[in-house]
Amino acid sequence: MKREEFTVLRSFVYEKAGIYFSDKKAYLLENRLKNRLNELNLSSLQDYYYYLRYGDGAKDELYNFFDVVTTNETSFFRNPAQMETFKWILQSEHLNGEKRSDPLRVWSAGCSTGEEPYTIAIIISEMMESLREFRPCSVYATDISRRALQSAERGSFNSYAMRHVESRIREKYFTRIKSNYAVNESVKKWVKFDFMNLNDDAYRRFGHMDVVFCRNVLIYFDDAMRRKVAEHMYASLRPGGYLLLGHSESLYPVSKLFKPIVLPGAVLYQRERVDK
Amino acid sequence: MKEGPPKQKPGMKPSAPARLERAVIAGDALQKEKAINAILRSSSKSVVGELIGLLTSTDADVRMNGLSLLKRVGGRNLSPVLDLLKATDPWMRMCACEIMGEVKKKRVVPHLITCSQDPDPNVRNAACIALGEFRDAAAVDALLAALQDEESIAFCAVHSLGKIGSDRTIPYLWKTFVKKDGVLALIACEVLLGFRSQQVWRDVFLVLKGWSEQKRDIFVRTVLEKEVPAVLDMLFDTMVESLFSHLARHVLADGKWSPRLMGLLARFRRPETCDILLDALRTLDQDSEGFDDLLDIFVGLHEVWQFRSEEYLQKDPQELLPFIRACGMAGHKIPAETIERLFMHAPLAVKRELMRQLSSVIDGDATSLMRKALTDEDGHIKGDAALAAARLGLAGFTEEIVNISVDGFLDVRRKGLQALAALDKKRLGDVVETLARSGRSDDRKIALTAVDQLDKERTFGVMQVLLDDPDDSVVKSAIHTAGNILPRDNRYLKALNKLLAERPVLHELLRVIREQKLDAFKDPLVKLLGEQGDDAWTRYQVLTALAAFRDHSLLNVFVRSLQDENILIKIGSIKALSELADATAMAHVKPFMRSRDPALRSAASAAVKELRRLDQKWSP
Amino acid sequence: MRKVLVVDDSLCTRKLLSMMLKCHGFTTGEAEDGLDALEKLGTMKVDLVIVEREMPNMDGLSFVKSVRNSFHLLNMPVVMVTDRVGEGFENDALRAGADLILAKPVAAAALISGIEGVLRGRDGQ
Repeated sequence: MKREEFTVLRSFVYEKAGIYFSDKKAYLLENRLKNRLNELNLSSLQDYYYYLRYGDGAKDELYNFFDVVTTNETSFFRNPAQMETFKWILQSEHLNGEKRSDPLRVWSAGCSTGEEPYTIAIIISEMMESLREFRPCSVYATDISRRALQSAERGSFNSYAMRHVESRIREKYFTRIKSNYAVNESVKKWVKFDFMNLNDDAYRRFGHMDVVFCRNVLIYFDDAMRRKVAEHMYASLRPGGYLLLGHSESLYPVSKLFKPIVLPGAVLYQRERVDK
Repeated sequence: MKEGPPKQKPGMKPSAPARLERAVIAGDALQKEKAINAILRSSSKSVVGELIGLLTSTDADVRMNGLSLLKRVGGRNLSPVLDLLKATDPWMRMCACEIMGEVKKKRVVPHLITCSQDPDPNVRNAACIALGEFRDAAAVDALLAALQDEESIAFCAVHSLGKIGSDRTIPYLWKTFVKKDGVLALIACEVLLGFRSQQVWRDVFLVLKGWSEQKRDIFVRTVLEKEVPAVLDMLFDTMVESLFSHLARHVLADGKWSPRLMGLLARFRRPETCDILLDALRTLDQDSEGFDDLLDIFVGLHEVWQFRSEEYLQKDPQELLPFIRACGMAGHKIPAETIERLFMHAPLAVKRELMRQLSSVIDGDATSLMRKALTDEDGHIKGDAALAAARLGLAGFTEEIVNISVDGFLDVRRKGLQALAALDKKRLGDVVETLARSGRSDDRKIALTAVDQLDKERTFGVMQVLLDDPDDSVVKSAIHTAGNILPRDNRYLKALNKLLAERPVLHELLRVIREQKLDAFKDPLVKLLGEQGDDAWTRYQVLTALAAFRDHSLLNVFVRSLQDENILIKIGSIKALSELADATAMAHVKPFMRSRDPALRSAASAAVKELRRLDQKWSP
Repeated sequence: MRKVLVVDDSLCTRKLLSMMLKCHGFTTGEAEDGLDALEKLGTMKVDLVIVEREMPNMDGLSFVKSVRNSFHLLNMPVVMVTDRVGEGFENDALRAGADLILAKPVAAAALISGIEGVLRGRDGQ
């Protein structure tokens, strides 16, 4: 792929979604777009760029573009250490004597095909049972890939996606349909899916979040964009709220807004509480 | 908070340090950050004095944030900073040195030199660090003098001299390297290697070579850590064999398998090197960035590990994937019984890899293995087994391979047909014809992946049917395939011509015309271009196809379409003109370089550049 | 192979301390302030932390307090170094939970024997 073609496309995707492809990742972009070029019968990435700007299928293709550029490896209860961290948050909130009746608000940013938000809802459900305390929760799940969101809303998963789920959980919260597993309504009702481009200001509608999951999202961005997203996340959290990044992702030196809390196998970030 | 009319008395700003303190510590982290940014953006000089006031705060956060800010704005107003030098508290004088180091104005150098002789060692330390920011002879002299100070301070002096990089300091640094111990010798060594003189490097390495292995270990590893290619080359050339133990120790210590260091390791063509490489590969995921590079290095050492292959194959099957792939890449043979044994016990990923590499590595009879593999439940295994059977020329598995081709994942079926094409062409023909008549469009599309392997007539028969398929996606795939077959058999032109008459125009068709430069379609395309009914994108594709002909007679066509109001058509026309290598095209394209639309401007400049280039190519 | 995390906002000081430690058989990691250090402790396996008292973004005392408040890190040995001794600074540090406080400039011998002492004391428990 020619250098100019790559540069033009790179600026375009950065402008639209804040996603940044370093020079090293040029091959990745080229590989992933090969299929799109083939399907649209285009001869070059430059033509693909023109299609994204002027083609009549441009709007839809942009969503395809996002799909292709943000494919993620995901599964239920992925990364046990981080799930333990989430349980720790729920427990410590409970132990702090903060008995609250307002809904627990959790945002799963970059929810992809839904495994993460459903996992979150299940953990909350289990925890409420064991603490014998009912508190409604709202899990807001957003992503930039429409195709992934559609799949997430269907809520049906194959055995590969379910491979980390223990059988007790599987039997309790899923229904087997042929070779797939469908999430039960009791879980689905807590989760709301929506499209969101973190580059836009849409995040503003999410405020007073108790926990934000932002796993494997920042990896797509450059430092400037990461800083911007960190600020957005800070603004969306209530004081004392928590931010969870992906395993081996770090906030420093990009942003020092949050205080890190070290737990076994995971690092948690907290927006400071108000007491001074 | 309204404060009434502003008083003009100088120095009477109401509690300015308190206000600043509020900005720096009050509010949440985000508000703090914004307040700090505001201070940085302003050009206020008085803020320097105010920030200095914060240095006496009992709150560590305030003190340190104040100091950080001072390092960035201190240059605006040096006199309060210089006043700090008179403080009795050594910490204040230290702060002054740190600020001066960031300020980078020459006039602070004499003050820093004075500080490098301060009674307090921490102030001298801070001064030595700060002096490293100035390429100034007096600064260098002060640092050279500091080499005689206590260890920590001399260390910072050496480090700073390294930053300045003045050649005249080399003899002094050399003395430190050979005469001193511990960290001083170490930092001097590192700094000497930062100079550009290769003679110095060689001298350093010769000294290291003369030391005991234990003494030189930390020095060699410090050099390795920096991974400067030219330095590493010289290190290898000078130390040769004695480098190996340090390198091995370094690479194993932190588990960071840097390709550069592993490449250096591979220059030692020994069994231990192979072991280390394989250990490294075992810890990496096959999709991770360094994996392929390391694998290449390992494969390059084939003649070293070829006799130990049995030993490697005894290791835990979970970890065999890299080794098996390496065998495939190196063409290294493994006995059939061993492969079969592995296949029975290995995890899925390894089994798949075995199949992928089978035809390159198997030594012996593959029959019983093939039987198991072709009926495995995993699609990848089946598909790759089929391909392996084809490459190995194994007859007698036709039925199993046909089974693979008729049902399952598309990718696997495609491999099945590919294998069948190599093993039994007649049977392939039967299968393809059956699939082409199937009620499932997936089947018909699969048929297309192998139809060109049949004999000409059989192919034509199937293609005629599929080019007329009720399912559009099948037709599109058929057009692709027809495009591939066309060079050998131009009967397909008629079918494609018929398709061109249909609306909407299939872009697959335009693609084939463009790629094969089918002359017969030139005029129909020109006609198509004129049809306003089609959407702009289709017309753009038509232009792109016409451009591929590089036919001068089309010049006027492109000039005409340049006048179209749609930007995309203009761009397409400009691009088409740029392919013509015709000087007259230049005149039409050039005006667009001043267009208001940026995409049009850039397309025009690119076209002009291309036309100029082509012009030069063809001129005498 | 024992690993020490060196935390100081000055690059030169980090280098000095790291080299001293490496010359005595330790491996090292580095962080530029308390926040950076906490984050790295989440992913690095570390046997001891050396931390400077005066740093921006999160100073040494706050860092030690965070460590001692963290269920996961609370037993981490911490040695504080500082260029401001006296005036109750030492008591602050020990009260916050530091194992040892050393005055700068730190001589290699004092650093190493101090660290070894702290580590030996922990092993004994």
